[in-house]
Amino acid sequence: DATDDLLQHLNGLVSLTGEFSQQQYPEGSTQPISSEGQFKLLRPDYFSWEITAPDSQLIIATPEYIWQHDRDLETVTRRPVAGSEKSSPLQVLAGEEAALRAGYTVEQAGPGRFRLTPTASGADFRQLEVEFAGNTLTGMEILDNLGQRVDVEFSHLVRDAPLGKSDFDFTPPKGADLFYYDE
Amino acid sequence: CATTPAPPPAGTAPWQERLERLSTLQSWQAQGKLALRNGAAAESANLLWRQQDGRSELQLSGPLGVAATQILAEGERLEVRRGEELRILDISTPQAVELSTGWDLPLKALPYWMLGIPQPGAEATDLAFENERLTTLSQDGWQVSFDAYGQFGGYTLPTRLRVSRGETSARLFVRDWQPGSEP
Repeated sequence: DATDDLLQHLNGLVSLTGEFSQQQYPEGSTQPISSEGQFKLLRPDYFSWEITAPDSQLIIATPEYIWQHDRDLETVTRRPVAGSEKSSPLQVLAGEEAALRAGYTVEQAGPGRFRLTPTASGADFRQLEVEFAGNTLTGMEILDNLGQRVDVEFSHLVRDAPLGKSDFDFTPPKGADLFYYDE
Repeated sequence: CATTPAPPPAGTAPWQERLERLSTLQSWQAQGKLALRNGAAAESANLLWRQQDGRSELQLSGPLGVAATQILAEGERLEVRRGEELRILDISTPQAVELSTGWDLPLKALPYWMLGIPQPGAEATDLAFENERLTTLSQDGWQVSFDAYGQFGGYTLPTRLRVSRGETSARLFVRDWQPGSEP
């Protein structure tokens, strides 16, 4: 079924690095808000999503924690992964089979395009479409909780670059306002 | 302080003039980021704020449009929209905002602090200035500091603010101001 096809595209992918450019279309305004950055993915548990322009923010996921460091606001939050059923589109890409099957219904939305709808109510986004050219991830389109569209395009992709856990180490900078959610 | 304040650089309107001009600014749009923190939680999100007379519309969303939320505040009425969930709340009593949203938020005063002026009609103390611009103020138990300003369409407006009271603190970073634009 469609989930198998999606997994087929994702399987065999150990790691992926690349750049992204994002266009967010707020409700009631024609002007998209754009941002760009780079990402790293080491399946199934590690990802790093770094927004470099116009703002500066880093999100890192490891098996234990999700870190969010906002460099403009100088804040760092750390959330335990265990027990947080909330998942972001990134966890879908990095996610392993069980999480994908349990958390989403998957439909084919065109050649190499899959539409994922979270099954849990109160999910953090309404719908996600992931697009591949062959086995190469080319883009994502997120329908957020307010029905606004977020388009993400990937480029400069490198498959299975040698990545290790240390590529996802994070130490909060001195002086940042830290908040650690307890386990 | 003993030293006489340095004369403001040329072209900076005296405070009284700025105060009057900004108090009459009824509609504007600010785009940037907001971080909130209290004893139990810390969140940060992209912020699109549209102010139209007494009506504040805030659109908040995390990276990739995750957890998009819309807040509409007008007079004694507060609407919080997230996914299919729409909550309409009466915020006439001071604690109502905190009881309903979990956050102690100065929703009535914030639109004025965003412009760099005290909320009219409420006592303000600890006013401090630099170059005819407010750097700190205290109102209703809130401590507000204006850490940076920028020039936007003939207005000098805050681009970094910190607001705190008790356990609650907020940081605002405004990247783009559109004063007086029809949102």
